[in-house]
Amino acid sequence: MNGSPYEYKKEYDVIVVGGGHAGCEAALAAARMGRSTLLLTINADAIALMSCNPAIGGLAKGHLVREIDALGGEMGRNIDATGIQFRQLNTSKGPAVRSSRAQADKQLYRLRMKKALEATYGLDVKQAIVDAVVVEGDAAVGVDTNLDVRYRGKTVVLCPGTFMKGLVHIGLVSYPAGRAGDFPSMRLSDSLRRLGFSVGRLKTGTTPRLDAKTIDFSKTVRQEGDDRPVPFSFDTSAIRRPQLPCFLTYTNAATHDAIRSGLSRSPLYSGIIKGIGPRYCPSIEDKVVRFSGKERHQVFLEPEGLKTAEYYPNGVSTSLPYDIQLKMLRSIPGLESVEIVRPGYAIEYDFVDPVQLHPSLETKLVKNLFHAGQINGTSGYEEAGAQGIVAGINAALRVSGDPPMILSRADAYTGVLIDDLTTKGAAEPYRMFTSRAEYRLLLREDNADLRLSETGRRVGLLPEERYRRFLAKREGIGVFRKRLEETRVGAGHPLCAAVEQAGDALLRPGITYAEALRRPGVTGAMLLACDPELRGATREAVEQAELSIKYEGYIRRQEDEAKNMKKYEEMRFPSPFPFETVPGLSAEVRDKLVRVRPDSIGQAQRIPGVTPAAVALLLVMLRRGA
Amino acid sequence: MIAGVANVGKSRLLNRLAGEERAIVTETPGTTRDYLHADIPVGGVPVTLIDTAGLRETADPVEREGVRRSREIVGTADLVLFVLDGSRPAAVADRSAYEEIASLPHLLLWNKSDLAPAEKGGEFAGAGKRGALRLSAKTGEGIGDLVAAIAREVSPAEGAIRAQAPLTRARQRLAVERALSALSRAKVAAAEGLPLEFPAADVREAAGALAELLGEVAPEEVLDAIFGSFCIGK
Repeated sequence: MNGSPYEYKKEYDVIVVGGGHAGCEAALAAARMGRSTLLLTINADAIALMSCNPAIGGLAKGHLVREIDALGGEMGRNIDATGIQFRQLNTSKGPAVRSSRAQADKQLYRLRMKKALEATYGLDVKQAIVDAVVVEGDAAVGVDTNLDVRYRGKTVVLCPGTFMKGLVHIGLVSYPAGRAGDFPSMRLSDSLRRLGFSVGRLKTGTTPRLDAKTIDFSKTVRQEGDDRPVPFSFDTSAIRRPQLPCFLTYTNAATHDAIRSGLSRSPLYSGIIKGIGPRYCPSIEDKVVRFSGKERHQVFLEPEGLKTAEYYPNGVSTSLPYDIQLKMLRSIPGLESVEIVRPGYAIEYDFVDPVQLHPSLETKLVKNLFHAGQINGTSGYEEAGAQGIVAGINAALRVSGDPPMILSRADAYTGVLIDDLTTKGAAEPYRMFTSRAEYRLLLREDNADLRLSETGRRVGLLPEERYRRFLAKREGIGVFRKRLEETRVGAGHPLCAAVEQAGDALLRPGITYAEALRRPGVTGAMLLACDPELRGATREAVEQAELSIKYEGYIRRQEDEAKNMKKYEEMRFPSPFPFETVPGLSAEVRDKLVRVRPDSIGQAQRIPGVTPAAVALLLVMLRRGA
Repeated sequence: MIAGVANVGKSRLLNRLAGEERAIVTETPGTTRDYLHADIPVGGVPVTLIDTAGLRETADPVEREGVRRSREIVGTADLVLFVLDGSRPAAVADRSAYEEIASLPHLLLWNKSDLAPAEKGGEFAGAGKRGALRLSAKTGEGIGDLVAAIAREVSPAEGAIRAQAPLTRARQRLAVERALSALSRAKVAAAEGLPLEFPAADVREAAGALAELLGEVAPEEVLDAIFGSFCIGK
């Protein structure tokens, strides 16, 4: 910065840096909670742009979208309005691992989100490159831009995605960019380093985009969406947009030979890329090298929108040289004469070690500064959005002097996500999986609103009318459940015949519907089929009552476990707590505690390598009032 | 539990079975003064082998204490491996040591088969005898048969394991009980065709209970016990 910057006359409550999936949720949450909010983006045409896959949801990610929605966020409603193919995944499996996924019209998605921002009172959107966080004392008070403009804000939320020192790689060619086609943010991470943050480097990548008129779809397998699309948002009644198919094809030996012939010019394999990439979303060259025994890999051809010819070949993310990308693609059935619109690329970017955050997503080093999204080492729009809404809510709560909203591992996948990040850090880009949640029978997509609407309302984000609809729904579930518990199955009841027909052991007459429902072979649909009087209940009421009765034992056990865990979450360390000088700790354990500086005994327990003996010592210190 | 008089090769047998030099082996009788143990998997069942000081009367106070402890733990063993020196005729000491274990489940092992031509007399026929084997701990001859015999004895289906597991604290027993009941729930859930995440939750709970037993997580009882048993701070 040269001399003194021009200081913008308005002081905001919340300044959000970055207009991606985290930044949009953060800015909307803060503004909807009544805080004057500024969203700064490098490119106002790229707000909520889907830089990679034109899709929302997927396994465990669908859960995050539902949670964002239940709190009063936008992602669910946005995909419902702009989705072009909806699918329920894992429908043959149990209720806890079912997930929703939808293809989006990429341009409509971004435009609708931009409009949602623009339509929000008290929210300004401005195009600018942020160079530094301005700190006075121990707190953030604003940001400086590359045009020497200083915006003052009571809180700052950083959601820079892959833009901090972003470096795009295609073969041996590399150039600075926040994403292919956008400016990078070259100074912001230096400003964070100067403030004392530990900054690292990660890598991610995307696929080439293909021209539909050069694809022979007859050589691929057509994949339709669900006949009856299920919306993401608890607020959406139905999906009305026409749905498009996707197409499945496969790589083969020739594809793999082409890839191998280009490895010497791969930035990944020639050692040019230093950042660590995600293991669970490997590039095609990674897959071919690491799983050399595999003869073929799936490639889904996904439309990028209704009004574009571009297709996204899901499964062939790559940073191989351009000629190799072309050769590899043209070896795939259906793509023999394909033209590349945009090449695939890898991108390296700076991230900030998330153990430096409180579970509110406020940084421990700088007060009133929050981080959300890829800056915390995550990958995925849904992971970003979930952090964005938490950071936005907590920035807003800070402005009004209220305590932060902390979601625990038993409350939400969002809680699991943030706890994992702030406790374990991110050694590679972090993606959500259902297996990361120990209470996953409680954390289902179908009950996200039951879990989080109260919280959304309490913090002032979920609007009154949505909350009222939620209360009515919850009451409906209760009424229906009570009915199932009170209605008895008489002798000769049609349900008995249905059970007999299914070949199950006979029902004992006189048991209640609820008791019958606990039997493995009996479903809510059977009850409805046998008793017309039950049919007045809503689909959600039947679903929730069925799940809560059928799996009652499991649900109760996990609730008990969660209650048990909560005790340790509530044993909080005073700040600052002298982890450096706790007597009797091994140097290794001490280093880990000093790095993470856990907020509670519960968090300390979850730091890998912190032994039960060490936790006992910490408890002793806590009780002594150290 | 490996028993027998001094210098019949009990420690060498432990080493042979454990596949490592766990016990010091010498030609001097009475080398093992305290008991040693080794954990080995036999047919999928974790077995703790305990090598004991030879059962004999001795003037050495340290060895005498070892012998006393041997006698004490012999009674707790699921299976006694009673070792005899097959290269020499059975002695009075062998017979009197044998009497101490004769009623317990045991295998009779004629060791040092590399030095001896044939099995000796039939006077070792206690009520608990489950079989007899010729083997050489030194060369490894017959060890495969021994492992198979142990596996037969300890496999859960045979029911040879005592109902009372050596869990000394209520906390340990509770953890194992929790793990067991979670596992049986998992079995039922899988049999009933419940979605896999339900049995998975049971297995996770069982693993958690066992992790507590192994000290991998700090259960609240351990922490509570610290404050219950020790006066800490103000």
